[in-house]
Amino acid sequence: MSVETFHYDNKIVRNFAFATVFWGVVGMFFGVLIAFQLPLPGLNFGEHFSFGRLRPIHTNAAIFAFVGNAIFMGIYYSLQRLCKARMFSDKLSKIHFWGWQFIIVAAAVTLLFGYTTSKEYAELEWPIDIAITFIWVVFGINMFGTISVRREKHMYVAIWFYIATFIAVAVLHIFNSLALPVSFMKSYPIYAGVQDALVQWWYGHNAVAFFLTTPYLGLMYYYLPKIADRPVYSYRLSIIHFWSLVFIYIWAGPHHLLYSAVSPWAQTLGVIFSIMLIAPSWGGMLNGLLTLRGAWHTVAKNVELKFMVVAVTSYGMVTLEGPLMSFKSVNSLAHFTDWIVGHVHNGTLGWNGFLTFGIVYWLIPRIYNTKLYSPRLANAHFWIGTLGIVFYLVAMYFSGITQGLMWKELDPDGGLMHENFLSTVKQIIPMYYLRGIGGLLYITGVFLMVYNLFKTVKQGNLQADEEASAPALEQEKTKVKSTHRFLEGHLGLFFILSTLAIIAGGLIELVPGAMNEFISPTKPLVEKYSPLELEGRDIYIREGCNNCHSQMIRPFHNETLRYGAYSEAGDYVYDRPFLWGSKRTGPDLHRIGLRPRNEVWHYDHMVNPQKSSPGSVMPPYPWLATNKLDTSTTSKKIQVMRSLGVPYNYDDVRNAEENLQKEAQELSDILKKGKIDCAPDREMIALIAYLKKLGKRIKVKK
Amino acid sequence: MGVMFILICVSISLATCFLLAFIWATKSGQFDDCETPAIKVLID
Amino acid sequence: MFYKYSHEGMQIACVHINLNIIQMQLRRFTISTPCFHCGLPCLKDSVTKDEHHFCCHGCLFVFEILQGNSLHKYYELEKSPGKPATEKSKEEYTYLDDAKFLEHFLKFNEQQTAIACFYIPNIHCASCIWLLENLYRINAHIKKVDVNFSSHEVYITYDKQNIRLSEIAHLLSQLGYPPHLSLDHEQQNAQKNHDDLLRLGVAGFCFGNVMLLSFPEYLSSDVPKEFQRFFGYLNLLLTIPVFFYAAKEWLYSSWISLKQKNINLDIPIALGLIALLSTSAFDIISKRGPGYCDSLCGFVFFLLIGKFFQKKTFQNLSFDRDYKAYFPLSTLRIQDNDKCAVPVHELQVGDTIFVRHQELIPVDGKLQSDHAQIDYSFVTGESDLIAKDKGQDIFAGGRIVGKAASIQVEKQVEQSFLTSLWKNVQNKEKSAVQTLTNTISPFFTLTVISIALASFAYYWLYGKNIAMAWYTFSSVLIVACPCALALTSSFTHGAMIRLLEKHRIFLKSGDILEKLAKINNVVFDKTGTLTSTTPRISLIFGNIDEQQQQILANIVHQSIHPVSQTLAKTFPLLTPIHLTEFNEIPGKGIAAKYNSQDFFVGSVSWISSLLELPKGLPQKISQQSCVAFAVGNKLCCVFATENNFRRGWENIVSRIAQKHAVHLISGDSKRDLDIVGKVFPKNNIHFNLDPFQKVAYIEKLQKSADSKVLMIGDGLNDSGALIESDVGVAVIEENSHFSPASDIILAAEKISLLPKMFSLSRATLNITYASFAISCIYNSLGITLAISGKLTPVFVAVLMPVSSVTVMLFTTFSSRRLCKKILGDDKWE
Repeated sequence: MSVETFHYDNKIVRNFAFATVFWGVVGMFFGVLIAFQLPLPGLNFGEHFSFGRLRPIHTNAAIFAFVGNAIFMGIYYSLQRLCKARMFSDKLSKIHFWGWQFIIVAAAVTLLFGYTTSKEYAELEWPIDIAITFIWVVFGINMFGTISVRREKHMYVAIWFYIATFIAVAVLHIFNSLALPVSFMKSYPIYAGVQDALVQWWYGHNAVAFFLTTPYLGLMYYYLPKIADRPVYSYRLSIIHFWSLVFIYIWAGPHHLLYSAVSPWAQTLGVIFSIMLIAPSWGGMLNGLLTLRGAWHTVAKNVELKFMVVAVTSYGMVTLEGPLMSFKSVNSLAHFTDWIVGHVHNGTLGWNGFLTFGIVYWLIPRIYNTKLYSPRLANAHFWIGTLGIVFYLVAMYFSGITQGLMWKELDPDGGLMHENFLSTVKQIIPMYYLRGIGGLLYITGVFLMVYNLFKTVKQGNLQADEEASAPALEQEKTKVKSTHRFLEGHLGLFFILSTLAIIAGGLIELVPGAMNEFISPTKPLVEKYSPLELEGRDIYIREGCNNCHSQMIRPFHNETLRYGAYSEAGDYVYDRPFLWGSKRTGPDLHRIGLRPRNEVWHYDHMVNPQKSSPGSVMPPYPWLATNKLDTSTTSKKIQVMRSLGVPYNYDDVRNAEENLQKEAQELSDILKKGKIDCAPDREMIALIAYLKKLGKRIKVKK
Repeated sequence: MGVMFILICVSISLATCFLLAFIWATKSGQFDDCETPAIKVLID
Repeated sequence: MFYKYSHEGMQIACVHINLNIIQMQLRRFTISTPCFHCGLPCLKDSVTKDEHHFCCHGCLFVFEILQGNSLHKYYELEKSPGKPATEKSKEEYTYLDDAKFLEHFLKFNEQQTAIACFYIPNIHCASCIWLLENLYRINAHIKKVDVNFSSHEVYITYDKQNIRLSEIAHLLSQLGYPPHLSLDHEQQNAQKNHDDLLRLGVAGFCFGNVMLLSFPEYLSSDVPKEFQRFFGYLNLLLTIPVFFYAAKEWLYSSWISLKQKNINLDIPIALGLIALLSTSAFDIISKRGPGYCDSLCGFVFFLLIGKFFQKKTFQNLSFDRDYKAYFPLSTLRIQDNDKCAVPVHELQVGDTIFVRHQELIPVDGKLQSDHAQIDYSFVTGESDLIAKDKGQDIFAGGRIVGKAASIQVEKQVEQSFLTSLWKNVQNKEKSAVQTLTNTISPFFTLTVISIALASFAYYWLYGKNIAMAWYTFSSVLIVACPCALALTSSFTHGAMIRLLEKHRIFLKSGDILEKLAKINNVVFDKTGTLTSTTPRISLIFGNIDEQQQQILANIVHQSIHPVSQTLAKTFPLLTPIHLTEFNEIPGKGIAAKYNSQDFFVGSVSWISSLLELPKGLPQKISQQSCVAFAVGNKLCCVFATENNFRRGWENIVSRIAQKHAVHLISGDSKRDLDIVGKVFPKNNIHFNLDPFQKVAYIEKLQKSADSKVLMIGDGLNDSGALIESDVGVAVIEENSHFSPASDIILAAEKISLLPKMFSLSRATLNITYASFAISCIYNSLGITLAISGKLTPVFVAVLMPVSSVTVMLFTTFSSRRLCKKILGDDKWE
């Protein structure tokens, strides 16, 4: 009975590997495209291929399609071997694979058509969110099932990282995606303004932590020793690494919101924990690199190891850079600039990308029972890719710091040195080209990999079911004790439990008070959105304006000079979703309505930005002037807002469309006076109505 | 800021889940041997 | 490759290179094909199979087993990973099936399945793990094998109806992994270990999250009320498990010590914890403030780290061995002309046992064979062989050399002469260490409590402010953190244990260091301690060429006489030749013939009776310990075998003698008196002492005028004395894992560090004093604030970790620095 023969499922690994490579190419292609769209606005090809819609496609493809598939590839290969068992269920594996690909395709299509929640890394609308939840659960069952039938008693540290990934992502995804649907592809989040921002960045940061980091650390702990053929430097350290990471990792989110309308103490919380995270992160990095101590000569010969080393080094750089950037002084300069873009690409291109390539180069020949077709080509890929990363990072750090300093620069009279935002943009255009070249180099390397893998696959044969054998794991018999007897035997424990219950009671008594404030904001200082403005806001979201324009004026002299009074929590109480943005490719728009820009200017600017602002990198949005505004869900939207606690009354819901048309007509008339013929039922009208109102909605002057 | 209550509760519950996992792992002897697993993983 | 996965400190490689020109020449021979299985050089008549070379049939045998079970991967994982098979017959393990042994070796035993745990020293690389875990492929009744690489233990799950434990042990030894079978190999107490880790984990978790929830309060003043209360409750919630679970031990221990009406260090700790928790709970529930949960959790967490840090276990070393570790588990009993292995403890008076060459005599008895040669060096330290005739008394502990002997049992194992050694000394508990911290803690506790009471009385009686009185009372208890007291010793000792381990000095526990400072008498054993166990061979006359060396090697390798064995170690056998004649004359030497030429190896007096010695021989050549080698009728060369005193031993002893009284007690005869007389005071040198006399000597020393005795020795003959002494230091040669019960285990080549150990122990005390001073500064600062009623939680939250971390860093780094300074860092790996 003892020895069991079983087969590893390599086919599912192969599928995920191919998907990884395929979506990697797609994601990187869009990356390169949007990189060039910035200096060359002519590359914005119409409604569905403008920057605002392609950027989320790029990030989603890179993170969820490329990295996601790579994670599953890595897990499905290593988990089977670490557990000495085939994946729990072939059917679930298949559902997982095809389900995930379906989600990716659905995401790509919906994003192209402008269906987005506007929340970074969580742009997908509610039906897709539900599908993700479903597939994630399938993955979970499959993983925990495999773990439960394992034939190896010890769970290698990599498995722990996989488990942490699963649990944390599940919780984060659910809590951030809580929303009330308006229609099949439109919903409003249940949180508003600052609350929404907090949840989003609690999620956003942890998505980075638990989707781009923990699973990859697991992969590192499995594949780096495997490829180097030596045990990890200190297994004990890797265990400490894991537990210290998961005990405190989920706290760093608020550092994305420094100097924002979030309470300072919450910001401080985020900063401190970002800094504390250096320790476990570097522990992990050093553990990875020290694995190769005394074997660095093999790195020179082994291209997979080279990828690994650069990946781990990148991880070290990023995890040091991140905490540094969460220092308030550094953050005030870096935030909203290209530095952030550089930072994340250091992580994705270096850590995630290179680790994935290392794994793929090692894994594909193994499951195809052959050798890599050309290690020389892989070597070329390595060097071209590394060069690409260097180009990219240098360009982004340079442009980020340049722009950050220029924004802050004051002239001797105390005014802004670069009053025109455009002059700070023109300054960094060369860096945008350089970044594009870096991206091109990186994707060139990937094309070499595609060819190399193609040839490798051709010369080998897929070992779809790899035979292995291991003795069964005897379940150790444990003495069964009834809970009651257990408690009797542990009076102390009983006492502790009752104390816990009392304190928990105290906590519960506290929560409702807080929930009141959470559900209905007590002192609304601002006007609620009119139906037209609400529709305009949704168009703003659809076109991805928040990708380049923040709505968050920080309490700095230069920003208040440039954009107006700094933003406060009260400004956002009706904002669902919040639109603070994370990057200022263009100026902040939170108080744009107060600026001397009339409706006509907005119209012209939208149709042809380069005409009204020569040198602008903004894509043109001519279709807004021709598309008819869809008002079929307007009253539904008001109704959903009302049920979320926005003080619309019943009349507001019933008369929504009527009110909208009235307001649109007024605006159309104003445009007509400016010799612009725009029918009141155009999308442009709604957008201009929204923009004109931005910053004007404060009821009580302070 | 009320959402902080929820976030903190969720975070602590999540961390507590990991704590429970830690307790289980320790009790079932997962950390008794911190050397062999690192070597065994190299052998397929 | 061989040492690739070897654990630091585990490989106590002890390669003594005797400065010997002859050996240098021999190097050339050793470049030959390494054995495919074990990597040792193959000799000329080595075996070859499947294009692989093997050094011996044993290796080939293992290779064939593995080949036959398609376990060839063994050789792919590592190059030459094996050890040659041991030639033990199945019968020699049969005693394992005895119920008593089964009980010891089986960790699980129910119905069909049993799980056995063996200790296998030969495990050294990935191949070993792989092969052992694939044992089920060789024998289907073995279901599963789990290897613990760090502790060299294997857990074998097997079907006990179809295979016996003895068969498994035999299979293992056939494969070159003989289990080390001894009853003293104790299982580490796994359950306890888990508790420590769990406490640390829980405290770490709670501490991390409590800190997080407290940070906003420290750093920004705008935390809204409801959040303050929320965090307060959460903190309290997280503190409960820390107090009741993680800190349970201190509470419990202080309760016990209170009951026994004595004050130990745990009392101030427990007092502080209770004060912290009750004040925090009161503050939080009554909405007064944030409480001190962060300080409480941090305090407990640091204490636990300190405890964990100090608890370094040397998995391969045992500090508490008794006679069971030395004696074989089984022996051959002759019954009706039939020999069968029986467990030693089953031997009855009147039984006849059969002891072979190099085997240990387990019981006292009478010799039944005509003659026997016994090596008692293990018991007495005397290295010369003792000849016994039929009917003479034989004591347990000797090794039979040469012809096997049959012995009639006179006493059972438990009653033998030697085991009584343990029975006598073991009952005495070693004097409890009165460490510095223990001395200080009652004083500390009483001071703190009186300050607290005084401030309470002051505010109550003069200030008429009962609330203030309570507040200052609890504040004093909270802030008077005994962390420095508690952490100092654990961190200093922990650091020292770790650092000394790198120098191959293994401490049983950290407080041994403090004990060392009080030592004023140091007692040395001679053989094996001041001298190395292998005698030195030096060429004192003549020359020997390569060919002659090989002939000599061939001759001495066939003899089991200790001198021959020593020569054999110096001259490895590289080219086996066929000797046409071989004649060993007891007490004289060996005469051999090769290529019709005569060769003689033996005592100088014997050789001189055979041939004429050339003139100009050095004086000492007439000594008994010289060996002559003659070719034909010409003296070729003379070797002196000397007790190989360790390099620099005089220096070691005289340096210790500067501050301590030094003694030498040896079981050996007086022959080295001249040498040791130069260093030791004449009155303190004692030869011909048996193990009991050694114990008595130590006892006598201890009784005289408050002297504390350190004994340094090795082997069975010193074990009583080592237990009896205040600090016992066992010297071990190579990685034998075999040392008598002791407080310190010292690798033989590190014996020169012994004098430095005393400086180190004084330095350790200084570190302790210094860190007490540090904590005094922090405490007086805190207490001043506390009695003036100005103590705030934030201040405590800062002060507590700062003082703990200062002490931790100070002790760890100063230990490190001192260790480096005193021991020198040249030996660092």
